[in-house]
Amino acid sequence: MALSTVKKTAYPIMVGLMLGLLQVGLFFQLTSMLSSGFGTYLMITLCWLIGSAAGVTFGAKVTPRMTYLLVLALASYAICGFLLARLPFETEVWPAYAALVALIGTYPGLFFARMASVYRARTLFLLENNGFIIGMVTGTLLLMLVGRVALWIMPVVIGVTLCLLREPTPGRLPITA
Amino acid sequence: MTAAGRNAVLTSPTAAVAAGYPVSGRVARAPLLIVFFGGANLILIQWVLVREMTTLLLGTELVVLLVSASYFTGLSVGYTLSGRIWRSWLAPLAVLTLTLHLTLPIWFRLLVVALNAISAYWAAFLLLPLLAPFVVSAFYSVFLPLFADEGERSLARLYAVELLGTVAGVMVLVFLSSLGMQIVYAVYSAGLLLILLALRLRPNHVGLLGTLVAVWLLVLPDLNTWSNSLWYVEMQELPAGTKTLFSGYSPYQKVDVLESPDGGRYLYLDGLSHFSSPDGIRLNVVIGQVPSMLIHPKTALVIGAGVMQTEQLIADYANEVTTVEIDPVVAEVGRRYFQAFNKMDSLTNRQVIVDDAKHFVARSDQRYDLIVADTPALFSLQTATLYSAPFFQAAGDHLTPGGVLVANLTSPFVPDDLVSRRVAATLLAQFKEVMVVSPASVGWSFAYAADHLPFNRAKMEAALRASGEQQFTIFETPAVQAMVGDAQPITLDSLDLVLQTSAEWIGDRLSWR
Repeated sequence: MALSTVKKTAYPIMVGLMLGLLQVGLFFQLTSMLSSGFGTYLMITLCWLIGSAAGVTFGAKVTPRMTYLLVLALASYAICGFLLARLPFETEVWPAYAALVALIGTYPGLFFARMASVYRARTLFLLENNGFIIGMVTGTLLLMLVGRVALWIMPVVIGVTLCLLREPTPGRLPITA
Repeated sequence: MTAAGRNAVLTSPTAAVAAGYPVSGRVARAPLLIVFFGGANLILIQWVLVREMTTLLLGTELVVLLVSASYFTGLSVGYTLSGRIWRSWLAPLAVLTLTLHLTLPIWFRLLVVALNAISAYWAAFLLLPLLAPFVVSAFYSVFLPLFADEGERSLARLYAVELLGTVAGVMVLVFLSSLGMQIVYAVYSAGLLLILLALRLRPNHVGLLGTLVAVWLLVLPDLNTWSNSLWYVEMQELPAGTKTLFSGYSPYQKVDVLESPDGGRYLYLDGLSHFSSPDGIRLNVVIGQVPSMLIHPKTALVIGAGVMQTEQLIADYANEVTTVEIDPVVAEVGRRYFQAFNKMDSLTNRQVIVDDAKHFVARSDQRYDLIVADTPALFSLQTATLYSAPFFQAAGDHLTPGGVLVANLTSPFVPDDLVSRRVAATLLAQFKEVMVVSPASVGWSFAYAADHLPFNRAKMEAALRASGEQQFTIFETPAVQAMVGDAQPITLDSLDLVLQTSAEWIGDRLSWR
């Protein structure tokens, strides 16, 4: 299998892995440092979905590379963690968390919009979802085994890997399931 | 692929392949409607699946993870099938999905009861996670990639609409789920019937299905309580003839209240016992009545409602008792079904606050003479945070001088029990004095912590005997320190105990019977 094919296969899986880790991180940190109430679950879920819907709607029109958007998502995640550490259980700050989660949610939306021209839809969703499952499971297990540090290191490691893989472009090697 | 190919209406996959067309052909008249209701229904059925399957497998963090992974695996199954599925299968699959999903709580329970009857409960841990991807989430995830790859609409537009459908599903749960399973299922069914119309099923057939769904929804409550009672009688060995008084989904869990023929009442959360009379009464006496007899608190805080009997036992000695409970459904069933145990209808020095205990303690200025952490065991990440050093520290900051924190060690305080030793280690890290009591009537141990405990061993012995406890062991602070040994306090970065507890509980269940 050509290296470029491996890269094209790995890219959506790594994005899914990243999203799984970010969701585990957001849910755990917000529910343990802000509130475990249903409102927190609702805020994360709705803001992620709305961010994704906005991202996928406007994604095709946005020109920056995925790398910049990835850095933006990771920066939003880091700001969330910073705010929670500085202002634990300050539920008045929730609009800031809502905005940050929505900003993170735009990344998967933009990802699907941009990759629609590179992959068949079923391949794209399959690879990304498989990565998401791996991220969700490993994120939860690592959180229990080594603590919150896993929720900081792992997304950075995956982020760097995604930057090294570079954004796939439409072209010579169509990927099919 | 040509536009003609995408638009051709091909009746059989063989003909499609022979003609060089994709096997799906043109599948529907309203792709956006299908993915919208598909997104909504995925979130609605996930709501049901997570609560039912977590209960059947007796929910712990690992079970929740298994259920979640199983659900998302179903999406991958659907994505894989989307390139291979025959167009003519979609409507029959939709009807099958409707049938399986509307009956899911019933047949999942009966399946587990049947496995248990042949001493194969362990198989449920394999069978349910393997079944769920195929029968629960795969169907709805077929459509989006199918339509996108067939060029019916752009991926971006389809995905945006599916996400909006998911948002709509979440809104249905927020505003309508408190009305019960029937209402959620009615909305779910309406969505799937619209999908069937879009899949070109004849309107009269859809009408017939709608009628059958309406009939099913009418009988569902009775079948739901019957199968629920059967499951508890068989799996939790409740007396024959035990009835379900309440069974519902809260935003957090499945809440069940049952009554045995002799009048005994039981509270289960996600299938785990949280109160059973008369056994549970002794636990409440030890954590509520005993410390209240010793310190006569003016103000007391109980973290975690359960059936709220602890509060009633404290209220006999205290001026004011506050309960903080995260789940409004638990607080409500406590009020409605356990009045004989909590006297909520007659006590006037009681209040219930619905909030996350961590948030409440962090934000409250109130100080208490007695704080009782009546919280579930460390089987999930969320419950484990209520045994962590930051939480005990926050609780300690809300004690008056001479105030006492009571915590459940959730297991016997013995040298080879790491859970109780680590909870005790966490308390020792926050408080100068920790006394542990192991009453024979309960089996678990309980800690009484303060910087200066306002009672000694002799007074504790007297209070235990006065409360009816005949056999018990008391560990004073030096003995607690010796037993704790090198066990480490629990922090938000050392939650490995959750994994261990979760794995042990699953191990116990796999060897059940």
